[in-house]
Amino acid sequence: MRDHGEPLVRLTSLLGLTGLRDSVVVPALADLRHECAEARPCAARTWATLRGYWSILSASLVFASVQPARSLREDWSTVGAPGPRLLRQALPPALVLIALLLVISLSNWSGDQRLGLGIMALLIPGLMAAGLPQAIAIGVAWTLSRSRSGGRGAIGVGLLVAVFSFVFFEGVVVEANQAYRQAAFNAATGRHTPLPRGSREMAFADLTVAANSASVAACPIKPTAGCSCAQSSSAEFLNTE
Amino acid sequence: MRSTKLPTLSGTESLILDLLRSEEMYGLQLVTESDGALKRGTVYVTLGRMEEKGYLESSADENADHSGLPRRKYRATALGTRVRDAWSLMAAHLSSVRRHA
Repeated sequence: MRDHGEPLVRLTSLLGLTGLRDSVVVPALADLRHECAEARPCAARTWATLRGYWSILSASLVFASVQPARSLREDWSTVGAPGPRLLRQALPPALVLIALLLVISLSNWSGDQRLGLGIMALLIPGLMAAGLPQAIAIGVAWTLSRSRSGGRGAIGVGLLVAVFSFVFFEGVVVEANQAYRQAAFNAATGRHTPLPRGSREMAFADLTVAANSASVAACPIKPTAGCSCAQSSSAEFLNTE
Repeated sequence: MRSTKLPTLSGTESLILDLLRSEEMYGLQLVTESDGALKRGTVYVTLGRMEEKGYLESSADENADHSGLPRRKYRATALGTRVRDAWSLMAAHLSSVRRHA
């Protein structure tokens, strides 16, 4: 009888549900144990146990359904809530980082005169998908590191997330896409011919090199009338996709 | 930052403060004393919320029995009592306004 619900307490501790453990599970279990100890006939003890566990289950469900909404309200909608304040403080560094990221990424393409601003603008959504979370993470970490003593670790975490994200998008995603294409091709055709890399399976640096190579290979010694070098090489490059 | 929100009191919270006006009680005892108005499945969540609001405080009753886990005993704080009194006063005023309207 002494160990009634001990695994339940350990489980909530293990899952980090300290709020649920301290305000619901432990008080309810203590009352359950007391009630069981007081109940003399065996049937009454069983009934007390069942009722006790049922109350813990229903209380946990109520707690789990109410607590997230309450936390959300307290963190975001009350007067002086920390959520909007943090976001406001994190926005300027995040915007600076997004601008910086866009400039760095697009500068790879700035030397290529064939691509106008309109085409380059099409790269922005893809860059934002990777860059926005990074910028917000760094902005939040930067704000935390400035507002709390000993919060220098936060900026480190933010930078780590950014580096991880960059490496992931530049390397892992590229290789995984190519591997998927190859595996799907092999499975569909039964052949094992190595597939050429399309533009989506290249990192930005490789893509620039490929575009320049295509340009050199396709460009005639003298541009002929009606067929510019840019037009012919762009068409060939785009056909590889 | 100090919250500027007005204290609020639900019907259940008001009942709990009423029950705790004269003595400290355990969660299960509150359920029994309320004659079914409080449910075992929700009383602990409500007590936890009231503790967060500062209306109640609790302490572990180490001497109650020897079941391993100390039972938690709840009592109303001065803030809880004042909010309860103010709430009753406001409710009385509102009823008289409605009567005279």
